Amino acid sequence: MYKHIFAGDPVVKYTIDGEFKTLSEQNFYQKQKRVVLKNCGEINPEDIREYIAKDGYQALAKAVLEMSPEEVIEVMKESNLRGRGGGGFSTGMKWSFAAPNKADQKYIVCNADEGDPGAFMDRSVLEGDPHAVIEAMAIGGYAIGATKGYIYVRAEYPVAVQRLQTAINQAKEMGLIGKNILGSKFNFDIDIRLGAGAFVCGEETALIASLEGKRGMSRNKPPFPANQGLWNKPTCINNVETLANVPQIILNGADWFRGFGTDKSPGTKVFALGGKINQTGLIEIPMGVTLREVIYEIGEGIPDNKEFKAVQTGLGLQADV
Amino acid sequence: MTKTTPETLKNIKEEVIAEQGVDDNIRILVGMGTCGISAGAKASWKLWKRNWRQKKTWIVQIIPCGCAGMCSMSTLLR
Repeated sequence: MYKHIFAGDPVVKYTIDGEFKTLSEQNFYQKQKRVVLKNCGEINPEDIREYIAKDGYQALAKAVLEMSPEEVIEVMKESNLRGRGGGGFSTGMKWSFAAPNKADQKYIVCNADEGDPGAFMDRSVLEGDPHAVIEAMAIGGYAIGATKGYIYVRAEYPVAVQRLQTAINQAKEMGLIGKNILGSKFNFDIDIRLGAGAFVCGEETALIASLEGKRGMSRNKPPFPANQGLWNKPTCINNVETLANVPQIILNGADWFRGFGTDKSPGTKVFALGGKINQTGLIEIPMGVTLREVIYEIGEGIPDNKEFKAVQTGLGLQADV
Repeated sequence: MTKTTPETLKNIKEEVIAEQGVDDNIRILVGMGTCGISAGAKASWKLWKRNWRQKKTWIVQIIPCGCAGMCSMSTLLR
């Protein structure tokens, strides 16, 4: 153990590609830009101190102590972060629809139902960096005037549920959610709600029905949840990956976020590569990277050099290519 | 419940970075997302914790972490 791990004499067959390199030096990561997955695989997700050491909760402090809710929404609008669940709707716009509504209670909901077959992007964020989602929900709550958040997570993700609950407990213990967060006048609390195995509950109105204890049935829109959502109160529902971008946008600014990706769709997208490809796994790439690069450069092509036939890019992206 | 302030956040960050930056402190990260666990990461992690013996002045932490993305290589140890 000492010889192979600490004395610079690794067992070559147990190294990646036969070389003893750091993770970031591996070919697999060269075209990737890890923003949402920044902390996944780098920190202990069950230790809030490790998240704080990676600038965790700095964005929340900046938002509640240095910015007004309107300024937070303006930054999100300028960043042009679009919903990563597949809808692609501007997150800043969605928050700006909910914010002006007068109500005794508003809600922010994290859609962690992730029903797409083979997809595990959201699961990886919840398991690897749950505090990013908690921090983002608190920032979103501050922006729209919500004091309560729910994370609707599918029950088929027990590790994610357990890590989320641990993270929520730790954040509460440190006063990072709860009353008078970071000495401000802002109160915010989060609870977890489990799904019950219905794919349809990934759709926001069915999700709302499920949260209310009813059968997960979609309804027509309008009214939109931002105006009339959970228990008919203004509600913003955002995907896990969308939320995981929020703290870094608040901390680094909209211009930073617009510095990668495309003009119409800045930022990155996380993909789960599965099926008949040499290098399966989870990747995060700037918007605009081609499917060819994903399959042949990051994924290292098709086994046995077989001919490419088809790829399904996920139900949310609505296309078989 | 602790009342955290921006100053507290800054202090915690500095403490953790200082702990991790000491040359004799070694972090072994074991990929323990669901995929890693189903590939045997929990067993790996327990084996490391059970069999590690303190040597020299090294302080070794064996840390569970989330998915690093190279699923085809699970169980991943860094």
